Amino acid sequence: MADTDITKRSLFYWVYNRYRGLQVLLLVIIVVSLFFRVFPLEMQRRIINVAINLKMIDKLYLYCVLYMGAVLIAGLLKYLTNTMQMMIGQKILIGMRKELYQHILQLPLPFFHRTQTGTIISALTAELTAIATFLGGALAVPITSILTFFTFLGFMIYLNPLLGLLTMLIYPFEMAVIPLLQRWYNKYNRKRVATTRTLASVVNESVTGIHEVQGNASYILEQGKLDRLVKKIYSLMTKLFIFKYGIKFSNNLFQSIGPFLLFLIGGYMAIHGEFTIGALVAFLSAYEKVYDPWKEVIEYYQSYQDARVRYKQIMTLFAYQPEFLLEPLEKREVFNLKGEISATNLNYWVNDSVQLLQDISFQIKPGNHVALVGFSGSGKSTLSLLLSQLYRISSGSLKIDNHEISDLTKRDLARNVANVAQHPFIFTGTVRDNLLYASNTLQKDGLIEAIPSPQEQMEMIREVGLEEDTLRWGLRSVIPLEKAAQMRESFLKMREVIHHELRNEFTQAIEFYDAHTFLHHQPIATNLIFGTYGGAYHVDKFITNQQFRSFLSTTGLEKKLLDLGLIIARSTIEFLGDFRADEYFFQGSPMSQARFDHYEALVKRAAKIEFDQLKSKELESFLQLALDFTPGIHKIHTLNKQFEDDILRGRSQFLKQVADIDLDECRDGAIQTAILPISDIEKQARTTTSYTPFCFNQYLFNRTLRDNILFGTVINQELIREKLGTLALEVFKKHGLLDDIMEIGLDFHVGSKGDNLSGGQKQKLALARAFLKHAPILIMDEATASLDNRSQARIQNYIETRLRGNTTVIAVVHRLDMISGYDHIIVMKDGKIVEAGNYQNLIEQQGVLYGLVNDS
Amino acid sequence: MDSSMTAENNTEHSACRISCDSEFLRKSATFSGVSPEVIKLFAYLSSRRSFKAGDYLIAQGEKANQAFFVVKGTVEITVHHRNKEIVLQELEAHAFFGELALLAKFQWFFNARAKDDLEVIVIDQKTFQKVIEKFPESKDLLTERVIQARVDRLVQQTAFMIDTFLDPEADKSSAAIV
Ligand SMILES: Nc1ncnc2c1ncn2[C@@H]1O[C@H](COP(=O)(O)OP(=O)(O)O)[C@@H](O)[C@H]1O
Ligand SMILES: [Mg+2]
Repeated sequence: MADTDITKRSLFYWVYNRYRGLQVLLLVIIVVSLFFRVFPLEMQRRIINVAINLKMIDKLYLYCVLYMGAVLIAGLLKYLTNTMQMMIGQKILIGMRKELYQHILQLPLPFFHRTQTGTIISALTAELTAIATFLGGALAVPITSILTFFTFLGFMIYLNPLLGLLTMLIYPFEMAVIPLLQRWYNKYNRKRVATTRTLASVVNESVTGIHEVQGNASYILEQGKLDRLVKKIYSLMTKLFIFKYGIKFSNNLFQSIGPFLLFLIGGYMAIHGEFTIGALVAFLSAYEKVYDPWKEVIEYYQSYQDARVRYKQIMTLFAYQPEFLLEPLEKREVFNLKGEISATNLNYWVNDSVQLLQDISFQIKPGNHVALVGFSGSGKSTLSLLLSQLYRISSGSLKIDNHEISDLTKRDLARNVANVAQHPFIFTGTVRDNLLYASNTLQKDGLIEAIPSPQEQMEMIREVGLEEDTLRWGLRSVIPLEKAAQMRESFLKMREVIHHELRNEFTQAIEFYDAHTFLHHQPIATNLIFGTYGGAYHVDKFITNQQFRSFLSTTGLEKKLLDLGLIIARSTIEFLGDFRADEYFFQGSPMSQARFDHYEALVKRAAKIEFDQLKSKELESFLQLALDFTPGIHKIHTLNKQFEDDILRGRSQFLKQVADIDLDECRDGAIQTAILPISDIEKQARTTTSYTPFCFNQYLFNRTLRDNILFGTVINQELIREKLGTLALEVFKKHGLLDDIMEIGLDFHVGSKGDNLSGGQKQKLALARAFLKHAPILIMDEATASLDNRSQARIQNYIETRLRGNTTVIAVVHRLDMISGYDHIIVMKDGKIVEAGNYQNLIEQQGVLYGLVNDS
Repeated sequence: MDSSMTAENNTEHSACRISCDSEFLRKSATFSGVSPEVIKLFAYLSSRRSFKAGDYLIAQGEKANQAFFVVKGTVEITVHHRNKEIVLQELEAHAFFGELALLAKFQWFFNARAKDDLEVIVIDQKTFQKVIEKFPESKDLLTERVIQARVDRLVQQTAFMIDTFLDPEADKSSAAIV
């Protein structure tokens, strides 16, 4: 596929070289359809001249049927060709977009520094799509239009040569006027494309910088930038349409001259008997028909011009060459380098004028660790980017194992160099996707046999100090059904550990879901059904559930709950009457502040009439309060023991009658398997009505892993955080269960561009990603800058122990107390190396490094 | 086994909620003379918490935002000093501590640790501010009480330290390094 450079190809390159077979087929179909478009005209003539004139009924029928048949077939073929045209266009577009995207990804970094992201996006999406419409019919349309045109013309000349030729007179005029108008149109169209791109960039920039925008409330400022562009686009569009419809108008004008000539001359000839009426009618039809292909040619011409303008602008934008080859010109295996690096008299300029690096020379033995230090702006980052082939040196030499870096391919570099940038990029996806980003590519290219195993992944997560974070992510997730079903046993084992080995420690912090105990920290509704119902708790789900409601009324619980609701409503209104304006005081009642007035009116009404005379909607309000009432939180009311016992009895009945579960079996974990098969759970989880009982051996699919393990309500968050969390993890570790939580944590979604991670977490993840590549050369640019001291030391320790001797490390180091562990130190200033040597010697020399160390 | 015990505990104090807690608060020195309305509101907005021996209610260095009344059990006030944890004082039922958290924002400069099974009533800063906002006339009295509690504590702790200093043998167990 690597024919000519993509940005140098003409628009028609894509047409000539892609899907030729389909395009030829399209052409054939169109030619065939031509016949069916001329045929009805001949039928028209015969209907009038033969059938009507000679009064032949059977001929009339025949011609009419043939006429209709031909029209129908022509219509169907038109339908087919339109569809095919679209399809071909889209197919070409796919290839075009793919190749162009590949090209863009390989462009040198300076291109991206110059070019706004929005511009690239708009070029690759909307602009290309507009071209596709044109491409589909790029060959077939003009060929068929011209063919059709001449076919009808021929038919007209066949009917009457003089008239036929006369009517053609107008076309040369049109051919002069239309391109003139089109040229103006193109000019404004180019401006429109450019302005639309700027618009995309402006939007992209403010979205990317949304923190800054919202932080400064600079909405008006940003709006202003957009408004100017919108106005400009409006004025351009107005001009565009003036020309577009100008072309249309002139076309129509010329067209109406035709019939004028026809009636004048044709009428004259018919009166003088030189022309039959039938022929005149057919001639008129043919004249109208000739207009169709002409219109198509004009439209084609317009869309060709439009596509050409867009295409040219896209290709000019990307008309740069990748600086390095992806694969070698002559086939060879990807190098396995030792990691010896040397630079001789290396210089680097940007824009041929600014020199960023000057006369750099150094020599690094394989496996050596080198620290790059120096003032900010001295060129350290630039040097590290040259080493990873992200920039290209201007003169001198920069070699790895005696290969000039510029002669190595991208694949060589990818295999042999790992890289951690100062502000590493984290991709949208999971932690694992990011961790394996480098390894996945190597594996796809066949450069490594397999991606690191889950064990290795976790090992690396620990090495960079992300273990606790990953565990937390794991515990916080609601695990997708299939995965949860797979790992259920392990999670239930953790639950067992908490409930059996650590029960004593946890009783102060958790109110366990015990089937025989009233749950003070759960609403009455949950106490009754003793399970979760349709994801997050919401009382409306209960109020509207017929099964639950009929359970309440048949067991007589409804009456008790209504009484409770009334009591709670009364005491809340009495107690909080003076504070009703402040939501804070509503924390001790199930009543929400917003409903205070509603309940106040209700209570008044309930005092006047009998309770059972209230409307059922009103009663529901009281029921709602009672069901929401959570004794452990809502101090407004105190439940007596007897009421709790009633609820417990209700629970037992509910499980037995409605859910068909024995309370004791539920509690003891005798119910061994999921009460519903996994396929049913899946179905139910999608509807809002899944019910999962709090049975000891039941995994709660719509709750977080943490909720599942603790299997109770947290009533003392601090205790868990301070002491019990760590304790539990230690015990899980002893049982070998920790990796399962890690495994879940690795699937945590990092959010768009890693926004759900902290700066330190992103940095650690980037480090892990690079380490996991196990490349012989590791380049780090202030890679630990956003980490706390302990994490920095941990990473440094990993480098000094695990990478010693087997990996050449070049690290831009900002913390000078870290550099004593490096074999060699290069000190830079103003793009030059001012000092180099080992730490001890440099300090003893009392030169630049000595000064730096003592300053800090 | 254990769980049934907890359940009973829960019902025991949940039998009277606001009224029990107001009764308890009213008896404490801090709230004596404060209007029953205010005490009742505090009782409504406070919560009970239980701890086991060794659990920390307050950890040095963390953000202070709650004050505690001891209902049952004993609390040890300790500080970390030169890598040792030194006990400064023991507090029993009806003691009030962490009081400064109601008035100011700071980080705890001591620890509070349960010595045995412990039950406390917790009032947080926001609650205190909200109640004072609604009953401005109580503000001066309550503020004075909080400061008074602080002064008393200082006097007691100083005495305790001087005792330990003068007679190190006598109290080795409580000032023990942990
Ligand atoms: N594309 C560029 N065009 C012009 N100057 C640049 C460009 N990139 C970097 N610089 C300049 O080069 C100098 C070295 O930058 P850098 O290598 O990032 O320094 P360091 O990493 O040592 O702080 C800086 O003064 C910076 O402003
Ligand atoms: Mg830098």
